[in-house]
Amino acid sequence: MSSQPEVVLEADASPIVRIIANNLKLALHEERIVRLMRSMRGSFALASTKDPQAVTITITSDNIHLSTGVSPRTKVVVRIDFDKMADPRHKPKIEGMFRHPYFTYQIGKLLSVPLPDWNDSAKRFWAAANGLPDMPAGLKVTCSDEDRSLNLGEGDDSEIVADAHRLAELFVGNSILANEVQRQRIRVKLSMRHLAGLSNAGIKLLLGESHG
Amino acid sequence: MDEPSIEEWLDRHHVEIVRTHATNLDGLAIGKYINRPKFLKSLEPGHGIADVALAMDLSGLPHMTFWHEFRHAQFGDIMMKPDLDTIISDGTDPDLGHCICDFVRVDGSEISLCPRTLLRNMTSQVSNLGYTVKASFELEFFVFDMTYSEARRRAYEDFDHIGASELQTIYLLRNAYHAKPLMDEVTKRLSWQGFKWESWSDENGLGQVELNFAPASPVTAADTIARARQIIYEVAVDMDKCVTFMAHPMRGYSSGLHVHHSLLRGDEPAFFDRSGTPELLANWIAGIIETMPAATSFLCPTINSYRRMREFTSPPVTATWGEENRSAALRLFTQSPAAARIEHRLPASDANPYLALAVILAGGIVGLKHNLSPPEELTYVGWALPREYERLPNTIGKAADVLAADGYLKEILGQDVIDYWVNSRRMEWLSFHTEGGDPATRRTTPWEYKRYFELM
Repeated sequence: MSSQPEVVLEADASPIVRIIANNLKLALHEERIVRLMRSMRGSFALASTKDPQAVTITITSDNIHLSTGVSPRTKVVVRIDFDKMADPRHKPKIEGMFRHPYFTYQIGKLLSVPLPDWNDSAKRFWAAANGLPDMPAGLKVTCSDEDRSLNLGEGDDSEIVADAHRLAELFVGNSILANEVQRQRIRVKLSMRHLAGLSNAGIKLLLGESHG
Repeated sequence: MDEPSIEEWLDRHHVEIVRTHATNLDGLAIGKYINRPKFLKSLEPGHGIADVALAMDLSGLPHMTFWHEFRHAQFGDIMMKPDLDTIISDGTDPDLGHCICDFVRVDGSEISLCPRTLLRNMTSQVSNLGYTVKASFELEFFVFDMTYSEARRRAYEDFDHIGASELQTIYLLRNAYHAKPLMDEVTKRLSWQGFKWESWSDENGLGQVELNFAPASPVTAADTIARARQIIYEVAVDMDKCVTFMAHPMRGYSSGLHVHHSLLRGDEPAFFDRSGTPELLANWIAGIIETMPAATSFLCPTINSYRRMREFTSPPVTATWGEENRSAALRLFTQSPAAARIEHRLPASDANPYLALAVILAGGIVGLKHNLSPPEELTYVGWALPREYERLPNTIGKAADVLAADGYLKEILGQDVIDYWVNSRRMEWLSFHTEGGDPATRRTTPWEYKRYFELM
């Protein structure tokens, strides 16, 4: 088995850099992704089509370095709606594809790694959030498009309801519960205190302060 | 003033309506216009207001990603308790009075997160050590020759400036003359309401003004700034101008909120000693210096605050001190007993005056309690120093991280206060990055203008 390349973030990294870094770390649990990353060299960038958020990913023999913005040294720029990154129907615009076709192909492979199943991520999230303040004693997670639910902790007075994709994004730290609730993408049966506690646990995941 | 005499006071000043005023964490003035019977009926524990008044961000959204014990699980009320010692008549509106309030719980007990309460508690801690504090602020802001709606229509670009010269001048009487009609009205209203302003002058930005106040007790000094900001805003609106207290509204120019303070032991200035630097002063500045990287989060609270922190542009960039050194973070005046004081030059103009002064006093208390020794006095220029001089945090995110890791300020201000503040700054950082702020630019972004220009 190849050793995992180290994912290194710039100092004071932006949220999108942290989110992409977290997703890369998760993807690197798969041996085929480790092999893929070991075969890649150079820089590419992911840039939002909606706002100035962007991240440059530089892959060397030593590590994978992530920084904010689009570096002038990038070979390929993938312009993408970050909210729809995990949606297979979403087609990003790619710059540099014709000059670097194989590198672009490798990037495509990397970006097509699906998020872990929401069920597993939810259990990891719950374990990492254990002991954080303002968490409910128990949480029922209901997946609206799979007709299944998961009970975490003790009691099911508190509940989160969303589709599988939203739940997967939430429990790996790609989205913040309170923001998703405000956008009406996720429905909840929670007190304000527990909504805050669960959201804060998500922010800690995003910041890399806990490991879901 | 006690409760029975308030009715007599209202009679004497013909006040029929009282405008209450409390300051939330972001420094926003929160309050209600209350008729006399209702005001008198709600002196204890105050009048109700939704708890989000103290728990919302600058876009008006409730803090939904962190929690504090004062909040209700389902958006309940807290109270605004009038401090009757602060009641004044308006001076221009014959029926109107004003009263500063503290945020308290429904049962009247204090809320540690209330900025005014926090500053009062810090003042008490200094008092318990045997000293009294005097403080004053230098308030800097920009005046524009246009209305807020016009500024908004132009997306906060292409400002109409007041002032005679586009050169980077300072103290220029010709520039000051252009601000004089507005400042005449501001100083008149301040004087009518009993606020002791001392001077105002042209600052080095186009249309930038600095207004200075006389020393007072910490809470009174911060009350004065809270009130003055509101008065300046109202005068600007009345005169078809607009003002902003955001820290960096124009390229090349920034506004600060320098804080002066001194300690007295009885009537004697404790920062003055003919025989040299008093031990108290050494401990006190050591504590402020030691905690300054962590305190930066309070002193520079917004994304925009950090655009101000560039070498050779006036704000300090290192945690340093020096006698009469304007490039150090702490500029000391210890050569005469009458003027003995410390000027803290780091706070940005968008800082909450209560929190800024509270965190500075907390630093001093740390120094005394832990008997800290200060670093060497900075006898050089404090900018462009070699790399071994550690720089203060220069982004909102870095500052929040440093504060989260600090132990000293938690010990004095309270773990709950630090945790809540750190979380609120991280949400400000997150909002900037995920709601359209551009991290690649060094200039003030449209996101900042929209969020801060009219509120700060």
